[in-house]
Amino acid sequence: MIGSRKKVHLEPNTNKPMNSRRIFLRDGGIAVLGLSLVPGFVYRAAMAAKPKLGKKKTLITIFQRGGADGLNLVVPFGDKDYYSLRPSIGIRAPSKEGRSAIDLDGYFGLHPSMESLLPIYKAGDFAIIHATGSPHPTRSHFEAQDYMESAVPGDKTIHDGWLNRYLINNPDPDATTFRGVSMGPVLPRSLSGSAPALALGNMTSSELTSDTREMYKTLYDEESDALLSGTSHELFEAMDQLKELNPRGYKPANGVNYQMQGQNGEFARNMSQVAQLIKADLGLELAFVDIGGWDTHSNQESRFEQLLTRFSGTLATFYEDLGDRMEDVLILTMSEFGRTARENGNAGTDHGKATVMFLIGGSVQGGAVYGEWPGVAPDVLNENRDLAMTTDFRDVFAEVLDNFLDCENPGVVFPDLTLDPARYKGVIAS
Amino acid sequence: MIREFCRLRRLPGFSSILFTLTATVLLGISPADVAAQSQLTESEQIIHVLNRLAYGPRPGDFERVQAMGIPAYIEEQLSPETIPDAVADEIIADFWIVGKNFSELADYDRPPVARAERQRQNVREKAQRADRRRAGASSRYEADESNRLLAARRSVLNSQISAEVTGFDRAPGDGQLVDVRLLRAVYSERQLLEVMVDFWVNHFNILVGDLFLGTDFSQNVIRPNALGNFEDLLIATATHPAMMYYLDNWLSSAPEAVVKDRLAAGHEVYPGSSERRALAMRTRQGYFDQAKNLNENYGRELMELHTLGVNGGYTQEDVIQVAKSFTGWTVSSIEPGSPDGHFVFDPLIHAGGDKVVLGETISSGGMDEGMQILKMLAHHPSTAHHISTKLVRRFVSDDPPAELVDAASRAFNESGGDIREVLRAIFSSPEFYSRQYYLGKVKKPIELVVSALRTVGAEIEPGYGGPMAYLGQTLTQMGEPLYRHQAPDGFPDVASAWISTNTLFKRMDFAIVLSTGNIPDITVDIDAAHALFRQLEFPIPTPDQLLGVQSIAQQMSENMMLNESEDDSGSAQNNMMQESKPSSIGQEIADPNVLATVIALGSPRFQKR
Repeated sequence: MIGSRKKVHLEPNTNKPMNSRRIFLRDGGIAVLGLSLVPGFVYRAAMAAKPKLGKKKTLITIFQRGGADGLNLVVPFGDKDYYSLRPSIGIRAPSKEGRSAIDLDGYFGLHPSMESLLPIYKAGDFAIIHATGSPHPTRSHFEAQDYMESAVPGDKTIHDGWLNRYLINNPDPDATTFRGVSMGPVLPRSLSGSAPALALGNMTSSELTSDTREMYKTLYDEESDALLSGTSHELFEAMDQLKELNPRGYKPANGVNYQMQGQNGEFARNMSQVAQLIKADLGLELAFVDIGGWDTHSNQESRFEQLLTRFSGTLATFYEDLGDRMEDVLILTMSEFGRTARENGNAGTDHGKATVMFLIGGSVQGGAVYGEWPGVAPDVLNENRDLAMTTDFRDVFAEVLDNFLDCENPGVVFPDLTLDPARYKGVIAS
Repeated sequence: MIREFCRLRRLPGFSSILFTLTATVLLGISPADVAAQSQLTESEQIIHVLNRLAYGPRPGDFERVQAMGIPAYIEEQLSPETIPDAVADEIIADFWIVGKNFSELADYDRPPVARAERQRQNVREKAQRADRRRAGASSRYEADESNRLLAARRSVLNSQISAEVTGFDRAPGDGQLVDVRLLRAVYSERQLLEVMVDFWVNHFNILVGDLFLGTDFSQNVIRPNALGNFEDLLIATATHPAMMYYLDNWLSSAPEAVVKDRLAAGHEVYPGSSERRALAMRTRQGYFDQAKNLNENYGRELMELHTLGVNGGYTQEDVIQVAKSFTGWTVSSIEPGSPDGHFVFDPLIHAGGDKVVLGETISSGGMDEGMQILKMLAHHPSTAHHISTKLVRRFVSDDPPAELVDAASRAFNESGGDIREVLRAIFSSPEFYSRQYYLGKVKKPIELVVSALRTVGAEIEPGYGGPMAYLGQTLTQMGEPLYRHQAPDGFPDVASAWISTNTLFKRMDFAIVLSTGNIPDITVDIDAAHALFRQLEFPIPTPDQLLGVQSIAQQMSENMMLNESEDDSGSAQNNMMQESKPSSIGQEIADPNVLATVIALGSPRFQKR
């Protein structure tokens, strides 16, 4: 599936990513600074004389927290072992009657509650990678999430996230405050690091009204500490820009509605706001959205019915809302691990290994399930219990950075991995 | 009208900020150098000492230090065991973890039924105590109106708190650990001890998202040694299962073949040993890119972070030799964090033979090898320098002055690693009282939150959930989730790590929510705070100047009421893009003293210590 490649980057990854970089100051001088010492606003002020706003590519990463059961999201109905492992929660092979998998390619099928994504799959804008996961054996949510977001599994000394390392290593002269944005109240590990990024849910509050803001603005403008005054300047500017957006009055395009039955709630609201930010051309390049509820130790199917309807319905709504702009948008989903191949005694599943990743967007070579299928026969299960991992999640991340964002040096983002485009799945048209 | 009282200077052009910063970084010229010549006034010195040795002043502290004199205050703080602390003891008495030792804490984790029952009991008792307190302090909640507002506010906050934002559950033990830390920091008279607990918790960072191990480590390893001897502290951390798990040393062993030979030769098997080996092999398979069976993680961090420092003069070969010496320092259970997992030395997996560390030969001797190395490292000059640098960074400046670091190192060496002596050297140095460093440290989140609570004389009712969970969440949003730092180096101690658009926003937001009394079960004394700001020479507006501002506040209040009826989302999620939510804050802020407190706590001056 590897298409023709326009560039190949193979660099030894001996350098830590945060070493000194050149910063071109506005007056034309050149200074070599330790980037980690430079506050965000100075960095951006140095990089951007006047932000040029306009269309740009946007990568939306969605983290399914809790460990999503890839085996029931994308059902291997063609693998007979699947049904012996899951006598009660297994999804039936495609059938005209009753709830059953939605056939994708004669072997895999979508969970019936994900029907809304089928048209996108058929249109060729939705690709699935099965049996993806982390090489690290941990079954702890926290550890596994952390390792996926740092993209350096097993290394506790890495402080920043993979998306932040991308920002650091690909300085953009047109960057705005909105280059990297998380929709939650806390900056996720993926976006944390020395490059600035916004946590929109944190910058909330109602309490900081425009009037209170005026009072603070006056005090901070007077402040001699450049870190405090410069950062506040940027904060107030960002808040002004967001206020102008008027999210209450947002009308999605193409007649869709994010608040439809069964898909309202935080995830839908966050996705509608991502859509709004993209359309406002504020310079959004990386967006991060969380969706929880995947830790299905019991009664998995009744939970999935609701959760998957909400999840896929929102993605389909977003896809419709963005319309032609999906050409420049890529949605990438991930979860810290999959679940045990065997169902447990409570009609649920426990922490496992490999799972599925979704890619949705105009640049996706969709309508296909990618990845090597390891099978779920007892002798090929990971530790005799989980779907084995055949695609390292970092290879998917790398392909996205390399071929969607046209990152010049994706190797720097993955310090302990020797990148090899031969391992890319060819999911992104390049 | 606001501009009038602020004596607004023009905003310096961005290019001049840039220039200043560039000059600072490139040429080493600090703008402060110029102003550094004058000495601090007496009241500035008092403010400085309270900002650095303590989490800022509570109302009354300024007068107390003024009366006893700064040297006496420092000596008192260096001997916390001599300071009565009844108020803090009373407030934390409700928390089950307080005073519990390792095995008591471990018991909590053992039988699920007993644990659940204990938790229920715990909640019941807390609720009863809280009710009794409320009954005795009903005046706080007199008006029906404010009760209603409080209840509304509380429901919003509680749903915010329960929102899953961090991806892991807040275990009751971890919650208590954070709560007790914060309450002590706010209430304890032993302020320097609290500051040093924070320092060492970060220096010896662990991350065991686990009920009892982390609690025991903080409460029974760090706290009793925080102002003691460095060697004792180092050994206590090295022989704790939390550290052995966290830095993987529990999996480090002699080569597998050696272990097998020993077993064949009838070597005594420590209970659990062989299973642990199996687990270790499986966990490590194809993963750790190191000498087979040896895990260097602890050996490296022991020298790089805990003792010598990254340029402290050790080599990769030293790391390997130290790691070999520490093989067998492990945990008695193969389940990480199990209540049965206490520290053990397991001779079966110890790598034999002499080792050479930093040029010194360590004779083959089982567990003694590690003990010998710990003692050697604890008293190494590089360790003295490393610890002193970090302490000077904490107490004096992000950019530690070299002469002071040297003086502190000398105190460390001459006293054999007595932490009090190092601190005494720092607190008695001319640098400590230099104007150059006055208000020169940006507060990290715990310092900001605790000092704000102290400034407003906060009375906290730490019932179940409620205010403590809110404070913990606030710290997380400001970037410092206590006891949740992943990397072994602990939270950073420099301004650039803490100030971003997100966190600055949260700091302002917190100032408003706290000053207006909108954190459930936290009562603030606005008059006392106002008096304190005058004492601290805060630039806050006079009542006259506030007349104009009050009309703004009135407007705010009206705007908010308007927005209240519009809000139909029913969601408690804070979201910037939903500009306004129902709030009583506009009304409360109309009180000039409240408004002044809002302004002061959110001001740039209050972000610094």
